Amino acid sequence: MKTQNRIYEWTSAVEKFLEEISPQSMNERWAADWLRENMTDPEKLLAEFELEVPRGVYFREIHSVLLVMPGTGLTSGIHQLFWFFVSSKKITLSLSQRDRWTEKFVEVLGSPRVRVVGSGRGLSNPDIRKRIDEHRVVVVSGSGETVDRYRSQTGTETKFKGYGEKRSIAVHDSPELTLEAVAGYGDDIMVHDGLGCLNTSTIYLRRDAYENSRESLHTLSKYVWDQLLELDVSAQNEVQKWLSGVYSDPKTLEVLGTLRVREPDAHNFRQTVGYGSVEVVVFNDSVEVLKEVGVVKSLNSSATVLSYDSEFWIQALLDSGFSRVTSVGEAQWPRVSWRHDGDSNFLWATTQMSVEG
Amino acid sequence: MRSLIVDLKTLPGSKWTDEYFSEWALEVARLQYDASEGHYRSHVDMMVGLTGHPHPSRWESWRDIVPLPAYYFKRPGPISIPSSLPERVWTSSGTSGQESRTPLVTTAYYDTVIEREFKMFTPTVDDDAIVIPVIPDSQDWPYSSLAYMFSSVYKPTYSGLVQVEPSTRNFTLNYEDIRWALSTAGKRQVVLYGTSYGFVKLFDYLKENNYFFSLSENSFMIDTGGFKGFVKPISRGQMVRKAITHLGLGQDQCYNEYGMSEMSSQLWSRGNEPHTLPPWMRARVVSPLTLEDAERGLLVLYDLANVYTAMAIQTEDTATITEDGRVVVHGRVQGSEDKGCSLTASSNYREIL
Repeated sequence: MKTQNRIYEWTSAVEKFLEEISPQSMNERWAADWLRENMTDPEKLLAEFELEVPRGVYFREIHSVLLVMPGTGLTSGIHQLFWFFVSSKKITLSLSQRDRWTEKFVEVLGSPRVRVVGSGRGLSNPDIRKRIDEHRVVVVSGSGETVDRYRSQTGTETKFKGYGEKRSIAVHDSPELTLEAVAGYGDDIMVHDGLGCLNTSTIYLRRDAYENSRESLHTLSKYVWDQLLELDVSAQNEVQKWLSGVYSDPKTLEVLGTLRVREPDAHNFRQTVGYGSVEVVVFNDSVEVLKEVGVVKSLNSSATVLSYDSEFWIQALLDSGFSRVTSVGEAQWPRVSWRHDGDSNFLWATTQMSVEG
Repeated sequence: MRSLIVDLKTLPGSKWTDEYFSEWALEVARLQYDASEGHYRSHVDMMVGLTGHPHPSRWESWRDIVPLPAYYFKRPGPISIPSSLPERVWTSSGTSGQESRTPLVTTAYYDTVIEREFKMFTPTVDDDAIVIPVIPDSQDWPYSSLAYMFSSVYKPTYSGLVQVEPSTRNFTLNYEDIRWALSTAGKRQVVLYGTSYGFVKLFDYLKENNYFFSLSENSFMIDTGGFKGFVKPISRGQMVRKAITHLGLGQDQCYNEYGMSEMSSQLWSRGNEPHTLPPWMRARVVSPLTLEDAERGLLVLYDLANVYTAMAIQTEDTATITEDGRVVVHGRVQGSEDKGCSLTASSNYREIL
């Protein structure tokens, strides 16, 4: 009953929040649409909850949790807040200034169980430690450096989970790159850019598609470039710096805007810097792709697949560490119950009981 | 026959029209592009390919020149004109440990602009002035462009105010000796110069020990460089207020120099005013991807004295340009590494604290 009440409390707050905001940019509209679609229907959330907690399994309510949010975009990580909202007595939310929506949402939620604190960026290690010690569970999302920092300050009494850097890809195993696919890739690359667990940063493109669809690739390049010019100067600077590093690389076939087209290179994998910087890897067969994604298994997160043999790719990508596969254009539309390590959202932090018979 | 170094040394400010500046700028930049098998040529080719920006052969004004981002100075390989035996190499270590290297075939251009800039932008120094460094001497810090600049111009009145440990490159200020030097000034002119970080430490010391001076009206201080993440940064206004409180200087007696080891010339400000460029420099604020003017973009400096690397440098500072052509620097662009002239100094402070 408590869970149901909390879900109702949550969905009411989301509806109220959506009434109060007026989304302007592409990212704002997208974030609002995702919230409306996934977090306003209590029945839908209850169904997600039942997927997370199987029937007959009971858990002890979590005493207190510190959630360090990724801060990479509007409401990024809000699903995480949902899961701990329904399962915990007390939540401290460490928020980046960039995510102004989540803070506003917490205000609308108005729950005494949730309090917001600033990001730990300017805090010393003893201050971080003090913050951690006030909680029984700590969940940190962010860069590998942030995760490592919090992990190093967490004592053995505290349950810890870190969601660090991730990487998402697209596999285009089709002889043509259609304009419809280009539109989907554009969204997968740019919407909420900065989420390594969702944003496509490498497109594995079959060689015949590369050779047959030059115009489509130029269209994608132009779309991403135009979006990037809307971003702030720090994003543009990071992309310029990245381009300057790959431009003269012998593996580079060509640079189209922020798309670096290259040959497969499993030995020198480098992540892009986001903000629309994308590696387009021209491949001849699936072995080349799997070899390359296999070297960074721990980073692999979401993948989109466009292929006549999706089943093959789904299995192969699962074996390569990916925990989510979608259609092109759906990368930024994760379901509420998905976690990018494929683990449970909060059960790992609880003590459970199986009630049988 | 025209000579760049003679122009830098003697040409009056009014003669440095945009047209005249462009003539030299295009000549120097094209030389750097044509002679280059290094980063500059590669970067220009990339930007021309990416943006449709004109090729160097079609540049018509200094505004067309593609700037080289300062981060290239941290990469191995030549910047532009190959120099197997540079007279000097300025280095500056970043917080990530990557070292910026600026090789100079000769310091002649640097020497020229230092001499002229100090005459243009700073007061004259009395023969009996008390000159107090807040940075080591160039002999002890041969890799620092900043130390070289100050040592070219000022001779400290007392030795031992800044101590250097040669094996570690660390240095520290002898606060008590500096306090004593300040207390002996009376009506004599006092000149203090060095890193902004060093001044913050000095002011902290004076504050902790309740020392307040009232230096003469022709005294002045020059600070330069940023805080690089090693101490809590303070604003320009705060720096000036500390100088007013502890040294008794007026706002107009506080000078700030904006420079970087990758540049030969500097920008100057007084009090809390925007920075002024010497007449042989120009500035733009651009989008790093399109190289078009941007309201809030990266500062690009065009410096004719930068003959042996790249005369146009894209900094990692955001800035705006005032209507009268002065520069308001807002600070490092997010995500970029803290650096600057005094970073070598601040790195070393960090090690000894």
